[in-house]
Amino acid sequence: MARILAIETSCDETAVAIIAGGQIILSNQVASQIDIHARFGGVVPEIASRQHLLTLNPLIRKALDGCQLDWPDIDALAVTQGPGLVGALLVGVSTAKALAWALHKPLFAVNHMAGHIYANMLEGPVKFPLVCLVVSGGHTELIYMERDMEFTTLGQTRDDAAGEAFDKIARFLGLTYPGGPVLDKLAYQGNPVLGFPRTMLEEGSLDFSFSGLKTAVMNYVHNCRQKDLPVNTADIAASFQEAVVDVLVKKTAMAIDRTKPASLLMAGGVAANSHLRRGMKELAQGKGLPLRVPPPALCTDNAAMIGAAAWPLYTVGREAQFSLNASPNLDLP
Amino acid sequence: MLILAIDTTTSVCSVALAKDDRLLGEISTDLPRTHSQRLMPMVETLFAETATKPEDLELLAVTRGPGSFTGLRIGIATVKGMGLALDLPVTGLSTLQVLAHNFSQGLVCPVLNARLAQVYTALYRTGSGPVPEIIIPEQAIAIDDLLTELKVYQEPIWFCGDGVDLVIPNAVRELAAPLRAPLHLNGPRAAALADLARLAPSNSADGLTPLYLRDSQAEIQLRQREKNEA
Repeated sequence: MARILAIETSCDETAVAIIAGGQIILSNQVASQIDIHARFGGVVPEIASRQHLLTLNPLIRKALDGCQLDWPDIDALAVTQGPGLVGALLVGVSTAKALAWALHKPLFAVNHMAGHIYANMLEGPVKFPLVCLVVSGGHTELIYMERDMEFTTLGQTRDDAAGEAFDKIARFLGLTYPGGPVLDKLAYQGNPVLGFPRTMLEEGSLDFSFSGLKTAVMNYVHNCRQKDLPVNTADIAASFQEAVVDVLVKKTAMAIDRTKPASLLMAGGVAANSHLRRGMKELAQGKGLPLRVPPPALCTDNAAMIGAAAWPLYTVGREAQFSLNASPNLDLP
Repeated sequence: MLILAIDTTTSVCSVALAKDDRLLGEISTDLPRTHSQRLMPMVETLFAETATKPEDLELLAVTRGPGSFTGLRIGIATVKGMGLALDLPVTGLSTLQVLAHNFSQGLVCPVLNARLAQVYTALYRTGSGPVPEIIIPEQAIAIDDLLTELKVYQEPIWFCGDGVDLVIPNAVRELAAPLRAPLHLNGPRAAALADLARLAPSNSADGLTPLYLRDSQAEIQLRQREKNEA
């Protein structure tokens, strides 16, 4: 089975993986920069790019050494082309092109969002057509796939991505960075007693909007502080999270009713959220659909998913050219 | 020894292939559109024209900065990738030294536009040996402060690099004999880099580090904030 070495540097994780046959993970290395960015309260693009440049080579070596492989054992290279931070993407793209050129091996350019969706394929083949809810720090999208590598966007966020709303609320509540996982845990200690709004937008729309919810949470806290009332962050976390999950699940249910898929998928960093996983599980059961969610480690940014999404490109020989550039705003094909 | 030299630190994109003391080929452009799109096709053309294969290479050379942060990372990441694939040593040199090596006689002051009213610069004496000798080390500095440092030199000083237009108007007033580099000596040339790399120590690809000469804006601001709070 052909082996692909995949590189991902679109944001603040330097990642390298070696995937056989688009499905078997031989190596999956992730060097997180979370600690480096924590003191800035968020990802600093220039610092992320600088870090990728220092980390990537040793990480590629580690990936190869980890499964006792050397360059002759690698059949192709894959790299995230976008979307993401342009300076960060360029480190991966430049390195991957140099490797492909020097080794006379084909290179495949992968869309980061396709990667998140294809993280699901690492668990085995899925049934098409499918609906996938993609939720991350930069994206909230409902994607319909009739077949392999064919994406139709059914709905997307009009303002903040779900993960972005999580991070902003966490920062507002003074929780540690990154806020998503902390909010997830904190919510278990509280009760969803605060009636924060669920923005459903106009009738039948599959788009999302989380800025109203974010403002409602902030207004509530300001109000409490003005009146010298105690601020129960656990209750806020539980209520905020329930509002987000409610909207995500309801819109996904609408997408299912509209497209009648054969399976339901979830992808992206926020798919690691335990409350959302439970909500989606109940939805899938109710609709009688198989649900696929990657394990938490494959929900956040990684290169295994890039290797998985490169597989269909590899099988049809859709190679990238040496003029390949990073595309910070790349859309799904 | 077969050397591939790459420079992408400014708007110039330059690649050269040198065998011992012979320059087999060099391609240089100074055009819009990113180095990411141009660099590898240029390398491919150079290798095709010279009937060379990647496996023939014995040394890689790259300008490690100063210059555009994104630009210098494209060159360094490319050379690191090649070095990793081919198990080759890498020589990383200052863009400013490479610019100074365009000249063979006298004082040379390469200046690169560092924005924020500064230039990346250094002062070299050329002609005293095979390699430009550093007189004032690399720094990011305001143009007026640079000219103050240069006032003590009563001999001609060559200025080159993409910051020339920022510096020359004031230099003409302040200095004894400032000279503007002619077109063909004004930008970094991968051939000059290859020549210097023959004489410089090499490193492992993993050990190659960039020369930014300036922290990220976020770090500068955070330090300022912490200083104000303290």
